[in-house]
Amino acid sequence: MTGKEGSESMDLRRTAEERLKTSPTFGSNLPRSEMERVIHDLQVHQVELQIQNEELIRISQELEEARRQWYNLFNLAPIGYLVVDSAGIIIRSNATFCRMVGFELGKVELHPFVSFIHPSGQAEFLGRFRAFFRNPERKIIETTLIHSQKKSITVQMEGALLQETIIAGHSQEVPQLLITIRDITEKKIAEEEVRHNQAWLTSQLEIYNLQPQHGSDLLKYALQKALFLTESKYGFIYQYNENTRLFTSIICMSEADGQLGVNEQKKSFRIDESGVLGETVYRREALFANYFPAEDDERRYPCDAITITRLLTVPIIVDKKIAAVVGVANKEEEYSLSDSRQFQLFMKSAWSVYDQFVTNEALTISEARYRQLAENSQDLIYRIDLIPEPRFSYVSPSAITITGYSPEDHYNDPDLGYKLILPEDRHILDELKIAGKGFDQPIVLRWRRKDGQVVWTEQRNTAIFDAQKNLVAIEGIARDITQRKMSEEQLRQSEMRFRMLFDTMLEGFALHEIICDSAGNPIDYRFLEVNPAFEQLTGLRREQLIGRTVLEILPATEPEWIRRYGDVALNGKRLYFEDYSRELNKFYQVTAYSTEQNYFAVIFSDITQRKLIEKEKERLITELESRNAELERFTYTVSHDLKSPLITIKGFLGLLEKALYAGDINQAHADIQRIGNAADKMKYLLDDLLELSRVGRMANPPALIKTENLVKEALEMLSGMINEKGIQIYVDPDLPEVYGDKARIQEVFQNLIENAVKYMGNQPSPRIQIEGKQTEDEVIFFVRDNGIGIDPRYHSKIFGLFEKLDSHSDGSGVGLTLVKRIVEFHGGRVWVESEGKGKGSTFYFSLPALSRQALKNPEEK
Amino acid sequence: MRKQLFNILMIEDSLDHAELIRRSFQEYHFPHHLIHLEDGEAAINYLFKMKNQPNVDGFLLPDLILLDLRLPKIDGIDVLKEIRRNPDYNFTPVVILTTSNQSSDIEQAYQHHANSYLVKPLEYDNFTRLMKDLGLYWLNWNQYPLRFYPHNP
Repeated sequence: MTGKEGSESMDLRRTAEERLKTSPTFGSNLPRSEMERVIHDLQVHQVELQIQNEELIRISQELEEARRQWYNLFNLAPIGYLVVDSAGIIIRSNATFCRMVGFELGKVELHPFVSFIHPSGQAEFLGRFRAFFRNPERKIIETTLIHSQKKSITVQMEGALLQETIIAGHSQEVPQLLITIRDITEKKIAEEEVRHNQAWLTSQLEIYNLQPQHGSDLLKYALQKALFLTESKYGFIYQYNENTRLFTSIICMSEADGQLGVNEQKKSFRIDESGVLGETVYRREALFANYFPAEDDERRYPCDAITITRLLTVPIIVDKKIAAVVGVANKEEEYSLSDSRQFQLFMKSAWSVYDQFVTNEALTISEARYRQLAENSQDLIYRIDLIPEPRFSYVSPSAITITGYSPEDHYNDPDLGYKLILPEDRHILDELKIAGKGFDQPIVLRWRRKDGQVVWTEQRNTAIFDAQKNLVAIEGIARDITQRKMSEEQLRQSEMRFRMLFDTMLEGFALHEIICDSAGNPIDYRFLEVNPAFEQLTGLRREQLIGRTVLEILPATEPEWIRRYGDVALNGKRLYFEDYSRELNKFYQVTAYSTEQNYFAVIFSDITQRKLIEKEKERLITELESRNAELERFTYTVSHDLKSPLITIKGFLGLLEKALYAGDINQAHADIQRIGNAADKMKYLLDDLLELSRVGRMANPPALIKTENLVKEALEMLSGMINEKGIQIYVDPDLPEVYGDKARIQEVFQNLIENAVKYMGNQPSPRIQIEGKQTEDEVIFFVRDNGIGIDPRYHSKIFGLFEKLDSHSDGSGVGLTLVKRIVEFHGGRVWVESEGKGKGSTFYFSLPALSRQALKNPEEK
Repeated sequence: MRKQLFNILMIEDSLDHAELIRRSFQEYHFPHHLIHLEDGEAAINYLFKMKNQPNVDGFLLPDLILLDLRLPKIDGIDVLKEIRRNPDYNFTPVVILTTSNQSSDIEQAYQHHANSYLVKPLEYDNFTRLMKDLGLYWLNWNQYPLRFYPHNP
C-alpha cells in the first residue's frame, strides 16, 4: 500500500513541478520580500496537505477494519444469511447457511434457493416466494432445509429488500432480497415433546377412569394407546411367571393402514425360547433395538409371524418380580429414550390398574370356586372335630369312591374311618391324634373298602388349634394312591429282576460318576456299582472299588480314557471299542453309555476266544491266498518253460527232415545235437520241479542241527568243483546251531555254495566265506563270494522259478527258488547283497532263533 | 542314403528258437536283415544307448521288433513299455512272439500297445508257415508312414 501511495505522491509532485515550470510568469516579476511570503504560504499549505493526506490514510484503514468486522459478522453469525435475486437464485451466502445445508462456503452461489428446501416444502415456498420477494416486511416463513449428509433441520426465515447492490464491480440497480435464516429444530422438538408428554398423561388418566367389563379390555385399551403414542405398528403384552419361567401371551396387536388387528390367543412358551423377551427379563430393564438384525430368526415371535425392524420392550415389575413384558415395534423412526421412559411408566400404571381389577374379580369368585373344588375333587377332603367328641364336620362326596361309604355314613359313625383302616396302620393315626405327630409330612394308610378291597391313601393333615393352643380339629385331604403303590410294587419287582440279571450276567458291568474340575473338564471318575462278573473279569474286588475313584485305584489310568468317558457322561455320547489287556492277555469288547447326566455305565465282555479264532482265520486266509498265488505262478512258469524245449525239439525235427532230404549231413548232425540238448533240458526241468514240490512236505522230522557239520558235508559234496577252480573256503568256527529239517538246510547251503562257485568268473584269487550270527529272535547265515556279482536291479528277480540272468549258464534256474522255499518253509527269510557287477555277492538267510523255536511245536508257526 | 533291407530286431533268449526263426525267414528269401539280442537289458541298450551314439558300427534302426515275453534280466513287457515311452519308436511295429498263451499276458501286451500277439506253434509246419505269413504281412502288405520309413516301397 505504501509503495503504491508513494508512487502516487511522486506523480503528484512531478505534475506540480511541471506546472510550476510551464507558468514562468508566476512569481518571476515579484519583489524578493513578496517572494518570501509566497514561499512561506506555500510551505504552510504543503504541511496542511500532508496532514490531510495522513487523515485520509487513517480513514481508509478504519474502513478496512470495519469491512473485516462486517465480514466476520456476516459469515460467523449464528444466523444464516442469503442474498437471492428475483428468480430465487442465490447471489451470496454466509458460512452459517452453508453449514446448515452441508456445503462448503462459496459452493451454494448460483443455485436456486428452493433446491435446498425439503421436497415436502418446495411447492409451498415457491407459491409464496414472489409475494415474499416483493414485500418481505413482517413475513415469517417456516420450512425444512435438507442437509447433504445429516438430518434435515427446521428453519424460520425473514427477509429484507436490498435497494442498491454492487455485483462484481458493476454498479447496478437490481432488486435483491436478503434472507435471514434461523435454525428452530431444537425448539420444534421441545414443543413436540411437551405435546407428547401431555398426550401420555392424558392417556394415563383415561386408563384410571376406565370402567371395563374385563381386565383384558383394560390392557387392550392401554396397548392401543401406546401403539398410537409411540407411532408403532405392532404391540404385545406377555405375562411372565418367575417360578415357572413361562411366558403367556395376553394380547398381540398390529396396525396396518389404520386397521387394528388384535390377537388374544393364549400361548405359553419357555424363557429359553423367547428371544428378546427373555433378554428383557434377564436385564430387568427396558431394551430398545432400533436396528433389529435383518434375516434373524429372533425377529419372529412365537405368537405372531411379523417381521420386526425396530423394537422396544419393557419389563413390568410388581413387588420386585417381573409380572409381564410389554413391547411395541416397527416405529418409522428410531425409538428414543423418552419413548422408552414414557412407555414404561404408562404400561406400569396400566398394569397396576389391571392387576387390581383382576384381583378384585378373583376374590369375588374364589370362595365359590373353592367349594366347587372340594365338591368335585377326586381327593377326599374332610374335617374332623375332636372336641367334645371326635366327629366329621365335613366329608367330600368322593368318600364314596375311596372308602365305599357315603359322607352320610361317615357323619353317622365317627369311628367308621378309623375302623376301615387296616389294624397294622392304625398306630399312625393314633400318633397323629394323641401325640400330634405327623402333621409335617404326608402319611400313607391302607383302608379296607366296603367291597373288601384294600386301597392306599396318602394324606396331608393340618392341625387346628384353639386360642389356648389345644388341638381341636384336623383338616385334611386324602388321595387314592393304590395305582401308584401297585406300580411301585411292580417297579420293585422289575428292579429285583434286573438286579438278578445284573448279578448273574456274564458281561462285566460298572456304573460311574464323572468328576470334573472347576472348568467342567472331566478329571477322574468314581465307581458307584459293579457286578460280580466285573470283579471276575478285572480281578478287582467290589469292596476296593465302590466309592473310590479310578485314579485312587489305578493311578496309571491315561487321561485320554477319562476324557473319553467324560464325553460319554457329559454329552451322552456312546462309546464302543475293543480293547486288549496285556497283563491278562485278554481281549474285551466294551460299550460305554450315559444313564443320566454325569453318570456313565460300562459293559464289557471277554472276547478273547472269538479274537483268537478271528486271528487264526485271518492267518489261514492269508496263507491260502499266498499258496494260491504261488501255484498260479508255478503253473504259468511250468507251461512256458516246458513248452519252450518242446518247440525246439519239434522245430528241429522238421528241419532235420529237410536236411536229410537235401543230404546235408553236417546240418542234420547239428540239428540232432540241438534236439538232444532240448530233451536233456526238459528232463532237468522236470527233475527240478519234482524236487521243488517235495520241499512243501517235511522230509525228515525237525531236529537240532549242528550247522558246522552240515556245512562240512555240503562242501565235501562240492569238493570237485571247488578244487578245480582253486577256491579258498573260510567257515566260521562258531556257526550257531538251529532247529529244522537237516537234509533241507544242507540243501540250502549246498545250493548257495554251488551258486557262488558257478558265478566266480575269472577271479584270480577266488574265495568263499560262510558265517553265521545269532540275534535275539533269529539266526542269520551268509555265503559270501568275490565272484561276478549281481546288478542290484535283479536282486529280487533271481529268486524266481527258472529265472537266470545268463541264458547260457548251466542249470535250469531252480536253485535259488529251492533255497527260498526251504528257508520260508522254516519261517525264515532269504536275500542277497551285492554292489553290482564284479563286486562279488553275499547271500543271506535267516532262521528263527533256537530259544523261541524250541518252546513251540514246530507245526504251530 | 536309402537303406535296401528291412531291419528286423529279434529279442529271444532261446538260441534254438532264434535259429528256428532265422531259418524260417531264410527259406522265404525276404529282403531283410535280422538282428538278434538275447535278453531285455541288451535290447534296451541297443535301442536307446547305441542309437544315440553316432557312427557306432552295427546299429540299424529296426523296422519291426519281434519280442519274446519271458526274458532274462528285463522282462519283455518292460522292454515294450520302454519302447512305447520313447517317441523314436512310436510307429515301430512290435510283434510279441512267445510260448505263453495266458490271457493276462495277452491283455498286458495290448495294454502297452503291442501291434500283434503271436504264440509260437508247437508243430514245425505251423511254425514255418507263421514265419512266412509274418514276413509277408509286415514286409509286403503293411503300409508305413513314409516320414518314418523312407526306404519302404
